[in-house]
Amino acid sequence: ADYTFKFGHAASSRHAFQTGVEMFAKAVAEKTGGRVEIEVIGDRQLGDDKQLLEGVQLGTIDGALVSSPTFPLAAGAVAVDALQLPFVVTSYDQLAAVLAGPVGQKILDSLSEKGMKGLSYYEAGLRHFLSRAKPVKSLADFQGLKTRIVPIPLHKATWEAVGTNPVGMPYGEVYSGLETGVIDAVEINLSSIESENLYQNAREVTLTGHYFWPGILIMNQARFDGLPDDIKQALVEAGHETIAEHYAFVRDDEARVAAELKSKGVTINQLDNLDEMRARTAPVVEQWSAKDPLIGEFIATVRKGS
Amino acid sequence: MIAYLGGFTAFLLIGVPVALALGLASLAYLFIIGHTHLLIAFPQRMIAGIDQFVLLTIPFFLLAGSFMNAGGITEEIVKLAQTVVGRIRGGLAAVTVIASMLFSGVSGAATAEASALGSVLIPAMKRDGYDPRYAAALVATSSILGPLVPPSLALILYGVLSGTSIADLFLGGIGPALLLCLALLVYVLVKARIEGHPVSPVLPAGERRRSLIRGLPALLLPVIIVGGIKSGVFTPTEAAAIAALYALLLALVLYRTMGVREMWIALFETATLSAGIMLIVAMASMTAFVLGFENVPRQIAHGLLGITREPALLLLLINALLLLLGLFLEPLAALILVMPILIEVIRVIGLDPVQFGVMVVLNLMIGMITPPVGLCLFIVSAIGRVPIEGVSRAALPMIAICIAVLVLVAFVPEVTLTLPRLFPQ
Amino acid sequence: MTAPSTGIARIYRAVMVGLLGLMMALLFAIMCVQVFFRYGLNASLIWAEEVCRYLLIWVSFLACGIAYQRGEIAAMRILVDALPARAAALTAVLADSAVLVLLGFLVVYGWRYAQFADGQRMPAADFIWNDILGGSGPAGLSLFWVYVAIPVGSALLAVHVAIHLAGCLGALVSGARPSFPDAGGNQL
Ligand code: NA
Ligand code: NA
Repeated sequence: ADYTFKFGHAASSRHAFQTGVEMFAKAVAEKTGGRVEIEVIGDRQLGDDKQLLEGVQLGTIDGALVSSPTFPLAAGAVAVDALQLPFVVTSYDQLAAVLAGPVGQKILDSLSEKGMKGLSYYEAGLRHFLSRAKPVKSLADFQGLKTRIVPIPLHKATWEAVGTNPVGMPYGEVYSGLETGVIDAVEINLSSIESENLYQNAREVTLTGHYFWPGILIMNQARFDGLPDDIKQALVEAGHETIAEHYAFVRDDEARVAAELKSKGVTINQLDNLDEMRARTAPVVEQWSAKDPLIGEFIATVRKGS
Repeated sequence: MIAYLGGFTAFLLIGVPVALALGLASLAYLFIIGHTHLLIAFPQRMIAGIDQFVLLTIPFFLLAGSFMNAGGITEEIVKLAQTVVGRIRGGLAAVTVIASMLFSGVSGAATAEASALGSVLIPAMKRDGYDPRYAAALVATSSILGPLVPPSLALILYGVLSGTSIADLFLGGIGPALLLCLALLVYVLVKARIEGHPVSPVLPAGERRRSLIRGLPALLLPVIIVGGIKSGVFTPTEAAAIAALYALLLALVLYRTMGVREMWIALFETATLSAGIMLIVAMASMTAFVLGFENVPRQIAHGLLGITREPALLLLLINALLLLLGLFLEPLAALILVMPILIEVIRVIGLDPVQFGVMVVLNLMIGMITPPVGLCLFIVSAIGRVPIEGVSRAALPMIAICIAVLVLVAFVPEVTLTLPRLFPQ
Repeated sequence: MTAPSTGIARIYRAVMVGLLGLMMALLFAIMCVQVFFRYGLNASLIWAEEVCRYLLIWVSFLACGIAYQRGEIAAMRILVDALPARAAALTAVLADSAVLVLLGFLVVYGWRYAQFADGQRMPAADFIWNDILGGSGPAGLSLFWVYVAIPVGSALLAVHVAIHLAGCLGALVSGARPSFPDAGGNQL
């Protein structure tokens, strides 16, 4: 290969993020006839999300797939919050279409001023609610539950609106937190419940599907700019074309994992009235849509399409 | 890799502090491979290394030890041990081992244990006519009981890095600790017979009763820690702060031995002591980045798996590798460095992660008492004013005992797993 | 090595005892209060974990210099102790110089990194503002104020090492044995 790039991600090498970057690597290799090789390095070997994002900006890492909550926090990329507004997007296919469309491209392009070339989106999975003691079936059941969240403003506002007691806890302590009862619940995707063995300590899942967990594939802007035009084009196309493929993969995988979890004794519940929860969080969406014009545009596009 | 290790050893030999030798070797390595654009990763990785909630256990377990010492709780524990042992030949050596076992339920780190007990027991043993080198070596060796019994910083770090239940790890460490304690007791008593060590002094009856009343509250700490974690009141990380709070309350309210000024000094000294350790953590994080950049952990893991896939043999190899690392590295730094390798290998060995974790921690703790880099050796040699070579030689038979216990832990699961199985979730 | 007991050294020590003690006390208080709020009141302080991490970073770097002076930064002196006085002094000069080079890099690149992080905000600052005053606070504090601990701490440590280096150079000239911070002597 003429060019070899190391792309990192912070998830385990059995996570959907690994599959995403591998899809990208394969597409790039095909489009360039093997002239560009992408080496995928997972398992946090190149650092966690924040370090990966910084590394790409600083040029110490070629590229990375980074979870979207990291972007507003560590790079001031406010527009990326659009991807996690509660209950705005409802299906994998819908999100894949928007991300592969003009708004998705605008969000990728907005990263350029921060020193990152945005190339693609790969999904970690729709988020649901996992609780350890009692099944959560109505809005009232959420009240006061100590719920582990990623402590960022958008998620804090969302979960306070629902009525839980959001707890900021390092991801590595969630397993023992659920085991001992330091926390009552966690908002999380199904595949992590399985891969992190969380079902051993908490057996009640409620399919809330409150928001997705996209990762954005980024590359150091200067390194990208220094490439010949045909290679640049191949990278951009490879990123663009694999979005739908990966979202379809994660969508199907979720069905498989749900069945798997059931067989392990996990109860899968539905909320009796999801609209109540949606109504509670609507003001948060309202508040955030004023933060960046791209967020407003994202919401408008989603609503127009559905 | 070779260049990195060579540089590290050279800097270490000329007397550069361990933490800074790690940093200098990384710096030199970046220049050698011509990747100077990675220099900016230096501060970034140092921050990333320290910026972890679980590491707060370091200052807080040290703080608990510091409060214990300033509050005179350490002496109460020693008196309690004296009461337990009574009048026998080599008694004070036995007191050292037992006091360490008791104290291990209070301290989270071997360094805290070595310095706290060493400052009381080494002078006492010297006064009784023991060889100071023997006294120092015994305190150093006994101090590795500390991280095997809850609370334990190393077990928490292993649990968090590997996703293993910390409550189970805590229970798992107790069996091996008792075994090691027993083995050391037999050793010191036999040695006392052969070499005619002094007979231990006996406390007057009144003081014995008093030591029970005053020493027991301190020993409740492990119960509070394990109970609090198991019932979900606090996380294992927060438990370190609760331990310090408990020690503070004992010293301020129950014993009334500590004033505000002593408390402030204890806070200050904890800050400087932690800084010494955190600097190693920060620099080890840079080292891990440099090695990770070259995919070294993966290569080593695959190298090991290439040699053999026989679990027993792999276990031996892993232990040899860890002991080797332990010669040079501080245990927490070593743990952070080798965790990626361990995670690869443990999948193949198929050992219970609790047993594996206790084994790894015991192994790395043995590194605390082996030259050239053994923090506990440094501490006891400073307290006892004896040269490091002398202490090391006196520690050799004790290290052999530790390794024997390590082999048992590695190959007999019951040693570790009996307790966790007795108290399932 | 003990610092020259000049006025500056005394003031420096007093400031450090005050600052480091205060930071440790704050850390201690936040951890305990967080447990009380979450378990006792079922109202978590969502900023607690983050603030503790920042404090730990500051404590760690700020205290490095004093820790060095107190002999708490572990080093191996087997070779140096075995060498004759002048060779030992020369070795110590070498070691100190190497350390100063490393610290120089850390000051420069640490400063650059802190500036780079200027665009990153501390969510905890906003959360605390909200918890205490309600409503949304001013646009948050920058992480620069956390990461600048590296260049500050490295520079302080460099001053201590430079003083030690001066002592070793003196020993090299006079042929005396170099002295070192009393390792472990100040442990707990
Ligand atoms: Na302990
Ligand atoms: Na060692």
